[in-house]
Parts: sequence; C-alpha cells; structure tokens
Amino acid sequence: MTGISSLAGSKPNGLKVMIVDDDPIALEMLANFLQVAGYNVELASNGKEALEKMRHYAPRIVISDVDMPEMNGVELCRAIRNRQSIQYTYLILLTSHSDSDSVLLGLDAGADDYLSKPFRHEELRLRLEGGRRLLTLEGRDMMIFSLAKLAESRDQDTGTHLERIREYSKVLATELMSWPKFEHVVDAQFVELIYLTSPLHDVGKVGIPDSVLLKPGKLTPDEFEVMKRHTLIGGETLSASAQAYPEASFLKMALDIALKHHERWDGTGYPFQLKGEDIPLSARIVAVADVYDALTTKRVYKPAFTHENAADIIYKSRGSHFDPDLVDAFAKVEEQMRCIRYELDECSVAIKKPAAVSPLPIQFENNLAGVFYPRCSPSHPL
Amino acid sequence: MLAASHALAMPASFDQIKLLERCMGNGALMQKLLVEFLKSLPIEKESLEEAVQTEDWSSVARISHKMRGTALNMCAKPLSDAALQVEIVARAIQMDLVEHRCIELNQHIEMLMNALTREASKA
Repeated sequence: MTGISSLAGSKPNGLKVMIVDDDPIALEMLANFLQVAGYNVELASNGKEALEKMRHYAPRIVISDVDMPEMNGVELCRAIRNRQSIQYTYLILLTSHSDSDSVLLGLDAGADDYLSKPFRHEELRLRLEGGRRLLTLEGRDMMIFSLAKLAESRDQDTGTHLERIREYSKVLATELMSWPKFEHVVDAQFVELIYLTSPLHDVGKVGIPDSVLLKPGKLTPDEFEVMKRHTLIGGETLSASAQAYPEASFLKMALDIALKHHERWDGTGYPFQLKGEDIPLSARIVAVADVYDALTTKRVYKPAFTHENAADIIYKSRGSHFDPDLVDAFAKVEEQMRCIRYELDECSVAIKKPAAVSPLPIQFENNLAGVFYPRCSPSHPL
Repeated sequence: MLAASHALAMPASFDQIKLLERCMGNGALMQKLLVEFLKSLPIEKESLEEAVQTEDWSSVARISHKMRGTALNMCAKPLSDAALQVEIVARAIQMDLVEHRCIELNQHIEMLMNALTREASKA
C-alpha cells in the first residue's frame, strides 16, 4: 500500500467482518465471497448471538440482515452504537427491503451503509472498501494525535496544550473562511486539516535533550539554539513522510506547521527568517494559537496571564510577530478563544482561579521574549 | 456435483450460471447450497400453509419475505417474484388474494423442487 488514497484495490489483510443473518444460505454465500476477498469472517444467526460473539471476536465491520428473530438488524445497530468501544465498528445493513422507511430506520439506528439483497459482488466490494477507508482514517487521526502526545509527554509542563492548540487553530481558520481574501484558500477541508495537524507543531521536541527541554532555569544562548532545532527536527521527520506519501495532504500541512510556526511576520523568526506571506497560512495561524496558549498557561518559568493581558500582547504584535489578518481574526473570535481556554483548562489557572493569575510582568509588555522558554536574553527572537 | 456444463439443460426455475458466479465459481459450495435450499423449501412451504390457515398474516408476510430473499440469493427469480406477491397481499391483509397468490407460490415451489431434485439425481 502506498498511501491512504491508494487503499482501493488493496487487500483487506484479514480484517475482521461479522455477518449476521438468519438465512444460512445467505450467510454461507456472503462468507464465501468475503473469505475469497481476504477478510476474516465470523457468522451469527441473529443480533443477540452477534452481540454475544462480539465479546470475544471484535469485528471492524458488521454486515447484518434486518429481519431476524431474537434481535433484528436495526436493534443490533443501536446496541453496537450504545456500547463503550475503543474502536469504531462499521455497520452495513443488508436486506431485501428496499423501501425508504427501512433505510431511514437503519441509518437512524447507526448503520453506516445499506445494501439491497441479493448483494452484487462489485457493489459490496466497493462499499467494504469505503468502510475500510473510514476505519483507516480513524486510525490515522488517532495515530497523529498519539504521536503529538508522545512528543508532548516529555514536557509535563504543558498539560492539555495540544487539545487547546487544535481548538484555537480551528476557530481562527473558521473565521478566515468567511473572509473574501481567503475564500479560495480556507475551506472546510482546510479547517479539518489544521485541526488534525496543528497538534504536531512541536513534534520535533522529541529530538531535544532533556537537559535543555526540561531545564527549569534560563536557557543559555547555546541551549536556546538547541531548542530552536525542534522546528527543523519536526520538519525533517514530516518531510520524509510527506515525500513517501505525496498524496497525503495532511502531511504537507503538518510539515509547514512544524517547520514554520516560529517564523514571524516581520522576518525575525526561526528557523528561516521567512517574511509575510512566505510563511504558510497554516503556520501563521498556529503561531497565534501557540503564543496565546503559552501566554495564558502557567509554566515553570512564567505565570499564567489573564486573557486580557494575552490578547493585549497579541494586538501589540500585529504586523511584527503576527500576520495582521490573523490578529484581526483573533479580535473577532476572542470570546471563543476565552471559552476554549476555560473549557480545556485542567489547571484552572487563568480564569477559574483568578487569584493564581499574575499581572503582566514588565518584560512581556512590549515583546514576547521568554514566553515559550526562559531565555538568557530577551533580545533573542522567539 | 452440479456442473456448469449442465446449465443449458436447466429449467427456468433458477439460473445455475448466475448461481455459480455468485458462489465465486465454487462448485462444491453451489451444490451444498442447492441441497440446503432443497431441504428448506418443504419446511418453509409447510410453515406458510400453517400461517395462512390460522390467518396469521404477519407470519405469512415474514415467511414469504424470507423465502423471497433466499430465492433471490439462489437466482430462483420466478419463486422470488411469487413470494413477493404473497408478501405484498399479506402485508396489506388482502385475504381474498392471499389464497390465490399462495397457490401460485406453491406451484413455483413444486417446479423448483422438481428441477433441483432432477439436478441432484444427475449429480
């Protein structure tokens, strides 16, 4: 397999499928088709038996008849959807009913797809591929977030930083969707991709030594140079993946973000000192989200700022650190950002416990030096 | 074993070539399913007659519906069509029509069973 888009035509490699039907002939015929196609098949003669078997056999796809004794297909769909399951089960209803009421009942109960009997081989094969594609995407999303979490796990200081970053990035991108200037750039897919990939912005921190990453005190200039390398390390890692899977657009965006989210609009950022629109939009969005989160979160080297102080710093950085459009977008969604901060604030530092919020230290009034890492000199760019 | 080469001699009650295709060319599976089908038909027929006699129309609809599904899978279109007709009138509780449609269905069942038995004896 050479990528998600090339899933069609690939082998199911023993993917587990359960067939549920009270007609033994239908069961055997379908089982034969699926086994020849490369699936691992389990059979059940009604919904109740299927649920019992699912305790020991965890199918990723269930193909069920509708009319069955004991428990019918619609009830089975409902029962599967009501289970506490760590993985998604793709449900296809297969029945000789072709009326729209049956279709609606099945879909309302949680079925993903619906096929009329007798099944046509090619149609069923393609619908199963659709199911597998969805299951693969679920795996992809979990894997991306797990990778980001793994990188973050070395730095216990950041809490639910990744969860907030993706929400902030989504809110900012969604705001840009309605702007004429961005109508051909930011669409629903862009918003979905930035939500998916923004947690990978600091994935390169896996390559930063503990002595630097976890240092509680100020970083020396040399240590800060080492810390800055996290953008290049993340970029190199994701670049290799993006080259291997050129059709996976999410990898391209993840690469842009990891490599360039510390660039600044005025060209004083790192690692390449890119300026203005040479910095990819996704990286410009995550830059605002990342700084806002760093400002409003307590770190070992700095207190948490109030939303007002953080917003004030962002406004003052319009056109220097940040894209002016992004700062204007931030102004429009400020209240949503504040709400996300509140909802995902497990440390309850900025809003839930106002007493823990510190006034803005003087060194943050005019620049953002030291907001991410305690630095030896505020003259260094972030 | 029922071979695909017998297909031309088959009655119109079911399409053996299509059935073999549906079995992915697996002749042994096709034969096994035909035997199962042959065994199930008298049982289904009896259940249906019992439901008609007791005027249990929901059972008539359910049994004929199931028979239709199995017949479709087995490429026995005439039986499937006849079963659908019974299902329709049973769901609409058109009692005057049920008996007539059931007679037609029984005729198709008999024809199919005869055809299947002939094939089984050839095999």
